[in-house]
Amino acid sequence: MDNIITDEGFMPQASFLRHIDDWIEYLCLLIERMEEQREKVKYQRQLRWVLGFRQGTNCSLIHNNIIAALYANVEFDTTRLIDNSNTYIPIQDCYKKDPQGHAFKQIEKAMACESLFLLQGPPGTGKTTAIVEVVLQTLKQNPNARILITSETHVAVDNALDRLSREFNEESLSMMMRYQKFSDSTELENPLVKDVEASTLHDKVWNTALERTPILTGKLWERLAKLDNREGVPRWLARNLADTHQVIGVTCNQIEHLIDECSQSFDLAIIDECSKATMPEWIMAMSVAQKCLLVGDHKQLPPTFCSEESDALSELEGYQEKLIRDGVIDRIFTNAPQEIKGTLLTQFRMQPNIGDFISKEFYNGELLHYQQQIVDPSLNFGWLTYDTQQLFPNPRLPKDKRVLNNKIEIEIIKQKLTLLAAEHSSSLNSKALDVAIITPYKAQKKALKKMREQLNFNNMLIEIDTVDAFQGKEASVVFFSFVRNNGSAQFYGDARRLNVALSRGKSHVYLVGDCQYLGKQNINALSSLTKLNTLSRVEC
Amino acid sequence: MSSYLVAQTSVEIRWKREIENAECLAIMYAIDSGYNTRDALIFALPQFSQNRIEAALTILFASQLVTVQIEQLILSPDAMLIDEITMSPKLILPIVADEVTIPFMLSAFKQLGIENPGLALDTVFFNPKSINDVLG
Repeated sequence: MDNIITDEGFMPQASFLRHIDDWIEYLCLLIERMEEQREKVKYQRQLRWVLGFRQGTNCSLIHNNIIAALYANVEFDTTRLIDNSNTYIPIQDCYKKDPQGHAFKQIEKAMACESLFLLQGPPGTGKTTAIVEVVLQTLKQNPNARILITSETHVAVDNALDRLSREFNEESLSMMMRYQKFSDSTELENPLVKDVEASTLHDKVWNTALERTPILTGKLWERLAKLDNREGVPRWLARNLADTHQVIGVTCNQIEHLIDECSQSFDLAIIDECSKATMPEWIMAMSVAQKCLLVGDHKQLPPTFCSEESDALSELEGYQEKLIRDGVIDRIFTNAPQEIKGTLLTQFRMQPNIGDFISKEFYNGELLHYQQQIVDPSLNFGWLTYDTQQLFPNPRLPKDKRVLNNKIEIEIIKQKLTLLAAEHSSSLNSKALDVAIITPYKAQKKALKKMREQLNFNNMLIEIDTVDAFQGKEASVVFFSFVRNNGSAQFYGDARRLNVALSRGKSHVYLVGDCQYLGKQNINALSSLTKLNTLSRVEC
Repeated sequence: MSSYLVAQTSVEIRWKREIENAECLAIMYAIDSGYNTRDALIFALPQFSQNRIEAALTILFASQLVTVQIEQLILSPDAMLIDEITMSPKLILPIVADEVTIPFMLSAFKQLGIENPGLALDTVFFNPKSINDVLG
């Protein structure tokens, strides 16, 4: 291992270890302050794994060295980390169409990398498809490979497993497990995948046991129930199921439920939406596998911190807070040599005119667009703006009473939705139109939800959420309600937040805000936005 | 009417941590039910992975709760009784906690019908706690 990183690489180990120590300090603070037991347990668990990683008890110490070198931006020899001796033939149809294409080249690079690979997937570029291809290629190369698919959110894990299950036959499906279960809010494309939920597998093994040894099973059912009185699948059984299944989907924070000193390590851990995960979260996944594929997009939002977490962060030194908030992924991706990183460049989601804006503003114009322009570009991406003397939030109110909601924008959205519903009814499309209304602020989200209650469109599915919560999702039509028309626009002017907000819409993106105010902000992306078409303007 | 203190001690008896796991318990129950070869265990216990059954057997061999004779797994005749004791409510004894010593527990296990109390002492942990009731 000494040869993997040159001698100079050992000094910078210290800077990453120092950052781990910042996290240790922060987690200890959180544990001390947190009143809710469940949250306390979560941070205690994270602390254990971070300490383990620091002490080198994780599966592959090469990970520690690579991350430390990347964090400190130290060059290192990657030749021993890459095995170019294998050739790969595309498995999924989308890659078969263009086996020499850029997307499959990234898969080949990821497969050739034996230890750690970073895959950046800008919005709509097929991250999940790439994950599925890497899993299929890994299993083709080694049919006994153990693969962990993980993310900080349930939805990302669900989507990856759902998509993967479509490539599996019944026999292959039996080697898959989703712990604990698919999220109720996930719409599964393959209903058969529900059979791989841990609770279903739990019933299955107990039923097999009952068929084979009814008396013994009856005694064990009674006796072992006394060991673990948690709801759902007992931990001991979860660990056994994890041993006997090859492809496991679980959120980062629940990995520990499946792993103990008796567990076999994984050959590959895929961490989806890694840019949204905090360092302890992706460290937990990285710690249990020989090879790790970090998939995400550091140009989208970094981890979010709840109010209790923010309070604890503010008790640390300023530089510690900044380092923790910024996350490590951006830094290590930027510093990683080309051999161990890749970027997916063709976006499949957005109409080209929307994609062009995203590409120019956030990806140096490198994104390509798969779709043809079929929607009128002068009408599908622009402003529903207004002129008003009213200020949102009202600066005359005391600070604690300034609520970040904007009734003018809500009314504009309501009227546009009514028009869209009427248009959609008169079209021949029988499928409900999926619409997302996203906003930076929780108060506006709440007010928008109230407005939705007054509507009664049976041909429209309207999802309302904050930008931060909507990352990873998409809709045909998106409204972005800016809300604020005085004070600082720094929060939504953050390029990463704007990137997420504007890249969710497949065919239409409506910007609902005070265009004049936004144009005066000294923020590049906002200035570019204000140059887009004004689709409607109202006086209030 | 005068009141006086009567020394009382509760004693909790539990399997040691390495044995108090689903795998070890299931193997003991399975052998007790006649599944007394490795293959029979794997057949009878589909809830468990093979490597965990193997690891648990190693623990049970080390503690002598299970032994092997002519490729057959033999469960200590005391194992199931010890398990019953670990599941029973705490013992309440009319003595002070300091008196709950290893020789005392050895004798207690004997009186509870355990043939090899040394095995019991080696595989369980006991936790005496004082409870002083005021009796009138």
